[in-house]
Formats: sequence, structure tokens, C-alpha cells
Amino acid sequence: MNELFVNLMIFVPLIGAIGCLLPKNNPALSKMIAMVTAIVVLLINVALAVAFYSQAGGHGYLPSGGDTVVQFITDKVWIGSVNIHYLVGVDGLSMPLLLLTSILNVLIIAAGWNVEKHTKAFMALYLVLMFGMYGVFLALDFFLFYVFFEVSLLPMYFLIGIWGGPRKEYAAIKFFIYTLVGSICLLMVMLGFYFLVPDVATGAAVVDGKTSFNMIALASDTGLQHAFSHGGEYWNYAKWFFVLLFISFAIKVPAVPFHTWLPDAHVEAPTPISMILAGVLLKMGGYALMRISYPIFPDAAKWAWFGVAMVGVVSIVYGAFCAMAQTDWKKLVAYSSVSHMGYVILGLAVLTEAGRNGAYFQMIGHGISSAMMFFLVGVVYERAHHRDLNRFGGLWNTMPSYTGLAAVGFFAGLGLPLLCGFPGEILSLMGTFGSISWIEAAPEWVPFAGSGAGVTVITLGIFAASGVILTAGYILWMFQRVYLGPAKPEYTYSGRDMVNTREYFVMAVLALFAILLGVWPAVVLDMIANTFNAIYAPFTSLTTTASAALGF
Amino acid sequence: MPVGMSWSEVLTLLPELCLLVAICVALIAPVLPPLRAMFRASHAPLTALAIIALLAAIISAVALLTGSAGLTLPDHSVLGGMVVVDHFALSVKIIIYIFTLLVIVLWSSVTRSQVRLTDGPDYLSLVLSGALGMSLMASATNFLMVFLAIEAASFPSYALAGFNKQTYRSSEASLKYVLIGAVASALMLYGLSMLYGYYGTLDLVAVAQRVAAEGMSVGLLMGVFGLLIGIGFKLSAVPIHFWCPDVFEGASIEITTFLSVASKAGAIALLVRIMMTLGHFSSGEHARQILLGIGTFVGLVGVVTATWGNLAAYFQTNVKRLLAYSSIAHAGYMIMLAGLLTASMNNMQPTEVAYALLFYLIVYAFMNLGAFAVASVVAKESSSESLDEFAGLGQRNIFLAVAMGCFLLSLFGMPLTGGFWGKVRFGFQMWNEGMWWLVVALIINTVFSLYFYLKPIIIMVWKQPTSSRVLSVAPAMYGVIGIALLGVFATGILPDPATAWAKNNSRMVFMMDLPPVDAQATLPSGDPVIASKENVAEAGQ
Repeated sequence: MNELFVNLMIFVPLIGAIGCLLPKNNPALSKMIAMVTAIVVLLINVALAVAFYSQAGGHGYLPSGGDTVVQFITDKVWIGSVNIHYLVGVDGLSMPLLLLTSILNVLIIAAGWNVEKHTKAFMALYLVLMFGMYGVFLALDFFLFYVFFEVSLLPMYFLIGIWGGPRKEYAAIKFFIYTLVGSICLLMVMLGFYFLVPDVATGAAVVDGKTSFNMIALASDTGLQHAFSHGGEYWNYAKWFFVLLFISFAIKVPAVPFHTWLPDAHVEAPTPISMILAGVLLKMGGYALMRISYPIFPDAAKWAWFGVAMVGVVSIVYGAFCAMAQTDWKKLVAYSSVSHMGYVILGLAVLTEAGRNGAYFQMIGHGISSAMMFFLVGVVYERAHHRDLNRFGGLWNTMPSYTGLAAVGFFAGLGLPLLCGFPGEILSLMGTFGSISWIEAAPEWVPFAGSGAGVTVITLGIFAASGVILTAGYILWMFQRVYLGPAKPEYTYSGRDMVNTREYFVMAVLALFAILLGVWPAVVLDMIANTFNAIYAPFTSLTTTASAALGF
Repeated sequence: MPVGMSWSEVLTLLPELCLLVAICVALIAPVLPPLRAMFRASHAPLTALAIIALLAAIISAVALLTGSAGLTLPDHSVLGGMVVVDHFALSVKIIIYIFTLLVIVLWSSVTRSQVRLTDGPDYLSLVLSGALGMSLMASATNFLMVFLAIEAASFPSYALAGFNKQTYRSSEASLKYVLIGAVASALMLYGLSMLYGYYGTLDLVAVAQRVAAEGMSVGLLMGVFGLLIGIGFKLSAVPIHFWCPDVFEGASIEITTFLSVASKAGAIALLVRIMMTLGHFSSGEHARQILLGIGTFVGLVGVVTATWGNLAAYFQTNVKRLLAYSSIAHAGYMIMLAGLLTASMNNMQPTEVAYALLFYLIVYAFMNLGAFAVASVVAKESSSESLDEFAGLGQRNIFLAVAMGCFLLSLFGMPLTGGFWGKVRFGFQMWNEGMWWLVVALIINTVFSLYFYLKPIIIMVWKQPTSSRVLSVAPAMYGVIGIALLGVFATGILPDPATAWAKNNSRMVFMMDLPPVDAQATLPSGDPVIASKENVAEAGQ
């Protein structure tokens, strides 16, 4: 039953997409079909989550061991000649992101309720995008994952390109080409696996002498782990693969210097698409790093820790400065995404338990806060028809209830304690400082191992922490320019132009989650704990000392 | 060896005989007084004849392949060592025939009405004889036959390129094609004559054995060079590709389709057979060095061709020229793969390479057919082949726009389409043979190609249409496009059946029956001509 639910989550959106296309000249019906589809998937997802976490043996990882660490698995041979399986299942790593996706889907379809241009096609493409997103989070076969990664790309291209702003074509093709270069890096790693794995794997990573693309098997195969470890047979390959995978996923995240597609895409995309792009699509990159790069290449991850951490820190600081310089409201929010996703990269790079938890929480928290920020911008943009920060002012007076919700959204983005932006950032920073101990004790081939670790990590940490202040700077400055000050008559809305119930609903739900996650971060951290312990077993020896030092 | 031909040997050429009969009927019947009126009244009877002949050819080829209806595959070359009918040849032939059939359907629903009734027989007999030449290319195992097959495929192509007699462009295309073709043939013939002068034989297997035994020779170099020119011309390899965009632009669209797929299928099959035979018999270290050189050179030609095609396509505004450069690029990928056949033999699995190629041919036929078919509909509607005519196609006929998008993305190599598996298999084989630089070239080229495959999609989706009229399409056309779409996705989502078919049908005769010849055993003694005569005898037995 639950296995069926997993498959339904992937394919119901696809059926919904076809359903959306059927009614002729009835956009309202298409919207209803899309909404019903999203709600059905949300319900399935909640049922699945309940079933998942009520399983005996803890959160998902079955105690019987072996490679059945993931629940509700469907495993069917898809392309036998190269041993590719249709392998889907749920674990703690995917469940919170799935829930985030499902919740956002409902809200985003509500947010897109007023799309008037080709409504039918919009809804259908959005549902195809849903198909791709669920596929990415549920796929456990490397190749299947890649296919869904690509599938999510095409509808996005059209959604930006058809419903976007004045420079939509440029933005769409830039998005497409950047992401595609990333997937080609991914493809190269897959090609490498296909040829290298059979020579060294000793466990489930090889079936009938051919590589199995089962990601769980790849990560747990001891022969493979040994070959990919430092000094192992494929140590050089491991480094290359790690770098290629990192490029591929850093483009998606996006991290500096691969981020330039993001501001363009966000500025041109319509509001609902900006929301899903920031809310879920960016998380695919972080999720993929956690699912593929780190578990399969633990030693390469140690080898690369400094480079990855640098990318994270630079993203945080550079993104924040860029955001500060913007006069386009939406571009400001877009750069804030670059900055916030930097904490995900940094938290992962330092290989401590706190850092990992922070990285994951930041993805969920940012999913809520960025979607909300983009929606808040969209609400005003639809009425004012411009996004120039210097021309706004006094919305506090003319739109008081909206401003109240906006305050929640933007302060969540700012990282105010008790809102969803805070736990992720603080855990990520704690994890960074906590990494000193393992780096000091690390063997020589790890960068800055030995006595240099303290200074390096503290420097990185200080720069990253300065991001918090910069974020406060640009968000508060923006808030001041838009919402505070004397009321301007041109931003007074009445009658049909007033913020409507549908918009209040979307904002209120997002605000609710922003507060919930801020007050009770453990809800997410508990969901991932067991899975993280299992997947990141290679790093546990590092993290115990680190978290002990922090008392974490 | 005396040329003794048994009845069963003749039957192995049944597919070609079907075509031959149809060609004769098409040429003679319309001038016979009793039938004249019928053929003057409409194109239908002749079209039906061509379709029946092609169906018969397909059926007999399938029967040969499966060994049903009393037909069996010979385990040696036939026609006195001229041609060989094996799984690989028959598979390529089936692809060519099916494709020719679809081209005729395309013709009858797009351009047939513009062809004068008196020209119908000429047209159909030219198409069929082109197909005949191409299928002989897939079978040739003697360099004389290679030359004849290439010419037999080329001459009808020249005439077909210029078949739109009224248009200046078409005549220009035809003339260009003839001139470059003549130069290519002359160079090939020159190379082959050197080959013959040195080895005293034109038999492919005999030459391969001599190469294995003796290693490098001037004759071999000249011969290979000439052959590459001749085959490269058919494949539009750089630097003898110049005819391709012009001919594709000038010829009517179904001929362009025909030339871009069927002709290239025959030529690549020929190249693969030659390379594979050379590679198969080389056992000595010395021979390997030479073959490594040849393979690397062929691979390099492929890389240059693909890169050139992809880069030149950037600047095209005519849809046929764009697709022409795309087909040059795809020919480049196939040539790259052919290079593997001799370049690496340490863990050589020739059948693997051959089946990767067969699979690619199937996919390539579908996606190219589809792209050209949509292009032909749009071009016919607006009587212009400019890319701008695609503006707003999504609003005028959503099916055509979606289908074109799928074909272009498949040509690019998007996952879930056949083109992706074609390229991935190529990548697998190249990596497997240790030719990592080919993999890198393939990937870089794929990235290059993205932009110009996206260009028509962008125009279809975002440009405002010049006319708001709904594009109407003939049912037969929908059929052709539908088949192509089905093929692209069937090979993309579930590639296993096509892979299995390609795998089962990529065997070649010499691999089944002739063990690799020991290098020492065939070392020539004394006069090379005498020695080679012995070799011919050996090979023929």
C-alpha cells in the first residue's frame, strides 16, 4: 500500500497534467484539476509520512540492516542492458523535502490562480514539474535520479520562458544551459561508475558483473568505499567524481561562481514560478549533495572540505553584498537565496553533525521563507507594476495586515530567532566552529590538518557569521524603504485591488510554518536524525568529538 | 576461383532483386501503349508499385534475417566474393528500405502534386535505384563493389537533387553535388587502384589479411585515403561536406530526408565493415600500430566533422541548412565510433560497437525523419524555408510544435528520447575502448549543439506567428510524424527491445566463420601478386 503511495506521488501529477489539458476553453476547470491533484498528492504524502515514522525500528532505517535501509521500495528493472532500475523509496533524507514540496505545491497553485495567459498550459506544465520534483526526491537509482533531474528542467524552461517578464527568453535559455552543463557533469560521473565499479565493488553495487546504479548500494559497498578512499585504487577518480558532482549540484543550488543564472531567472519568472524555484528546485542541489556526493565519497569530501567551505562562505558573503546593492526588489530576494543557500554548502562542507543538520534545516527553512518572500514581492508587484525599491514607501500605513505578514516573512529570511531562518544558520555556523577538532586530528592530506586548523576554521566562521549581519542589513534596509515612512497615495489600494483572501491564505500558511519551524526545529531534525546517522556513518568518528566539544 | 552461383546465393539478394524489378517496371511500363493512359492519369499506380516493391524487399530481408520461408543466410560472400549478406548488412538494409518507404509516403503527401505526371516514373525509379545502391553499400566486401555501390547510390542522388527543374537552387545544388562527387570518386578510384597495384587483390578480407601480415605499405595508405574520401563524401565528412548544406537546401525536402538518413546509413555501414575487417584480422603488434593510426585518424575526422557541423549550425537561418549541419554533426559522431573499430583492440568487442551503431541508426532515422517532415509541412504552407516561418507554431498547430520540439531535443540527446541512448551508448563504447578523448569530444559537441537545437524551439514558442491560420496537415503526414515520434520515445523510454534487436543483428560473416588469421601463416613468399592470388583463393573457400 505504502509502496503504491510512493509511486502515486510520482505519477499522479503526470495524470493531473494530462487532465489539465483535456478541458477545452475552460481554464477554471484546469485550475481546479491542478489544485485537486496537488491536494491529493499532499494527502498521500502526509499518509506516507505517518506510516514512515510510525514504523517499528525508528525513523525509517530498518534494524534488519543490509541494504534495505530505505522504506517503501519499488524495484523494477527498467533498462536491463545497462542494469538501470526503476527504484524508488523514502527515507529520512527525502521525507521532509517531500513534505515541503507538497505543501508548497498547494500554495503555489493557489498563488498562480490569477494566471490568465494560457492557464491550461501553465497548470499542465506545473504538474509536469511536480512529477520531476517528486521523482528527484524519491529516486534511489542514480540514473533514474538523473532522468528526473532533467525532466524537472524542461517545464521550468517553458514556465519562465512563456509566462516571464520582458527578458524571459534570455533568462530561460540561460537557466537551461547552466543546468544542462550541470547534468552533463552528472552524466560523466555515471559513465565513470559504469566502467569502474565492477572492478572493485564487492557488495550490492554490482549485479551480474554490471554496475548497479542503486545509490544506496553504491554508498554502502565496502569494496567500492575502499577503492574510493584515500590511497585506494580509485582515489584519483574519487576526487574527480566529487568535483564533477559538486559542480553539477552547485549550479543547481546555486553557489558562487555558478549562480548568475538565478537572479535572471527569478527576476523574469512569474511569482508562482519564483516561489517553486527558490522553494524546491534549489533544494535539489543540496539534496543531491547529501544523497550522492557525501555518502559515496567520504574521503574525497574530507579532501575537498576547504574548497567546498570556501564556496559556501563566498556565496554567503558575496550574495549578501549583491543583495544589498539591488534596487530591484525581486533581485534582492534572489541574491538573498544565493546567500542563504551558502549556509547549506558550508554546513555540509565541514562534516560535523551540527553542520549537516544545519544544512538540512536551512534547506527546509529557506524553502518556506524564500517562497514567502517571493510571494510578498509578487503581491505588491501585481498592484504597483514595478519593483523599484526606491519608489516604494509607507506600505505599513496603506496595507497594514499585509505588512504584518510581510514582517514575519522577511524576518524569517533575516534569520530572526524563533523563525524558520534561524536554526539552520546557527547550526551551520556551530558546525563550522565545531569542525576544528577533527581537522586538527586529520591526516596530512586533508587541507589545513594539524595546527593550522583553528585559525582557518575560525576565519571561515567569522566571515560566514558576518553574513548574518549583512543579511540583517539588506533586509532591514529594504523593509525600511518599502514598508516604513509616510504613506504614498499611489500605493493605496481599495476595492478589487485590496489584498484578497486567496493571497492572505497563502501568506498566512507560510507564516504559520515559518513560526512553527522556528519555535520547534526539532520536528525536522528528528525526522532526519536516524537516516543521517546511517548515511553518514563514515563521518561519525569525526563528529562525535566535534559535537562533544560543543555539547551538542 | 570460378564464379559459381547457386540458386540459394541468388535468393540472398532477394531484397535487391525486388527493387530491381520495380525499377524496370517503373521505367518500361509507362511507355507501353496499353498502360500509358493509366500512368499518365495519376501518380498513384507507380507510388503503389514502389511501396509494394519496398514492402516485398523488407519482408524478404526480414525472412532472410530470421531464416524463415526457406531462406537462409549464407556463411560466406556471394557473387564471387563481391557482396556478403550477413546480419549486419540485412539490418542496415531493413533500416534503409523502411526509411525509403516513409520517404515515398512523405513525397506523396507533400511534393507529389508539384511533380509533373511524366516525371513520376523517373522520380520513383531514381529513388529506388538510390536505395538499391545504398543497400549494396551495406553488403559490399570487395573494393570494386564498394566503388560500384557508392556510384550506384550517388548517381540517382545527383539527379534527385536537381529534380526541381524549375528552380535555380535545385539545379545549382545538383551541379555542386556532381562536381564534388566526381572529384571524390576520382580520388577514391585512384586510391583503390594503388591498393590493387600493391596487393593484387580488391577483396576486403584478403587485403585485411595481407595488412595483418605485412604491416604498413604505401598502397594501404593510398587506398585507405581514397576510401575515406569516397565514403566521407557520402557521409559529408569534413572537409568534403560542402555539398551537404547546398544540396539539402536546394533539393526538395523528402530527398533531403532520404539523403540525410538512408544514404548515410549505407555509407556508415560500409565504413564499419571495412574498419572492422581490417581490425579483425590484425593480430601482429606491427599491424596494430598501423591500425591504431588509421583508427585515430578516422576518429579525428569524426571529431572535426561533428565540431564543424555543430559550430556552423549556429549561424543558419534556413531550417533545411540547420538540419543539414545537424546531420553533418551526427555523421561525425558515427565516424568517431567507427574509428574505435581499429583504434583499440586490447579489449576489443567489435560487435558491441556495431550494435551501438545500429541502434544509433534506428534512432537517427526516426528523429531526422520527424524533424524533416515537420519542416516540410511548415515550408510547404509558407513556401519559405526560413526559420522565421516556425514563429508561433505552437499556436497554429500544437501537435507539430510539440513533435518538432521532441525531435530536436532527441537530436540533441535529451534523456527519455532515443537520441540520448544513442549518444550514451557511443560514450560507453568509447570509454570502454579507452578512447577518452572521443568521449570528451562527444560531450563538448553535445553542449555546443544545445543552442541551435533550442533556437527553433524558442522561435516556435515565443515569436508571434506571421499568420494566424491553423496549419492543416494531411493524414499521411500525421502518420509519418506519429511513427517518428513513437520511435523516438519507444527507443528513449524503453530502449531494451531496440537494443536487443540491434545486438542480435549486428553479426558479420567474417566474425562467425573465419578465425583470426595467424600473422605468420599468410606471410607472402616472393612476388606479392602471386601471394595475393593465393589469399583470394583462401578467402573465397
